[in-house]
Amino acid sequence: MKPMIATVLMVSVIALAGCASAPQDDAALAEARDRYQQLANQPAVQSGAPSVLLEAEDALQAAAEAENAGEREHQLYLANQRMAIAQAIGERTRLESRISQLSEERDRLQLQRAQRQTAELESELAALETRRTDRGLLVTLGDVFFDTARASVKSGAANTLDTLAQFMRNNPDQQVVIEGHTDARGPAQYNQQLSEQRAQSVKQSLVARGVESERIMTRGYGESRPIASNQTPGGQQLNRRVEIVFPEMGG
Amino acid sequence: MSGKIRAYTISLLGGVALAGCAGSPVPPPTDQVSNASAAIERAQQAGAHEFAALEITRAQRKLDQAKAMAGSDDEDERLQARRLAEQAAVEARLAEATARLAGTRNLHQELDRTVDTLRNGGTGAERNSGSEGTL
Repeated sequence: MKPMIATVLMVSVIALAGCASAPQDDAALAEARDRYQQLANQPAVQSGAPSVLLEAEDALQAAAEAENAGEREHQLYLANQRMAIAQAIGERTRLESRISQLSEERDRLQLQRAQRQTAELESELAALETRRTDRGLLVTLGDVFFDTARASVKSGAANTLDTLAQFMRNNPDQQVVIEGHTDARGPAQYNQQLSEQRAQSVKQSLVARGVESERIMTRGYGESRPIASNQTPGGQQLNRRVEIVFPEMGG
Repeated sequence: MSGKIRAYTISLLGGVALAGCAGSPVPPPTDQVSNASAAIERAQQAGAHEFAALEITRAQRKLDQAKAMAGSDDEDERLQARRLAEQAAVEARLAEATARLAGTRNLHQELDRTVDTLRNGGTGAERNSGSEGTL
């Protein structure tokens, strides 16, 4: 009887021992706990991944209480992977706040740049012969830029055309109207045609400088809209002109 | 006779201890397997194959193993299946988080470059130098 009791007792004790606690692997658990503490102290992790942090904590707890090595190892694995998730989410949270700062900075710099360009160009335009009218900002290309009875633009107009084209390229929404005018010498029909050709010729020069042709309208008014007397050579010269109108500007 | 009763009592205690150790019978890990499948799907949608290939592969492999053992008659195998499914799910979530982080990192880098260019007086857009078509 006695040996039997002893055997049963021994079996029970072994069973209980195997059950109670797996061979202690405190190093791995302690390491995981340290890692957890470090993570939990990071504001971005706290704010970005609070639930994953809690899940990691649960797994750490479960690992500490595990009844056998297999379960302990499993829970430690879960805890470590959850911490890796929390870390990734925290890092992403940090980057996202950086991204929103950078976006603001980008917008601010772009606005600044656009304003600076507009200011530069407006001062360049102002250096040309410009007038503000109720139709918009008006730039006049005088007859010195055209040979008599010829439509093509002379090379002396290059700087003016460069500035205008640059302005158009930098203000993609800006439209422009190019109007040709002549003096009253010669047949009206010929003058009409010449004024149209000169307007067209200025348009081609702008297109050659990279301005989309859809943004440029041309008109020929011939001798119908003089701005000075056609009785004097000086008046005639003023009337021979191409007017470049930027609508919506300075109206 | 009191000795015999004591022996029974002790053996009963031992039995209870053993039973408590094994835990309640392990059911097939149906929920864990479907959790893991859903997590893998989410990770794939987040671009895990591109940005977290290692994690998503590991998740998929563990899920496959879990599925293979989930219906086993053996209690230990079902327990193993449950653990594998839980690990697959956590691995898939890590894959998802890693993939999303990679996307955010790319965005951050791009924006950083843009702002840098702007600070140095560039356009901050794709450089289209005005070398073409300006007569």
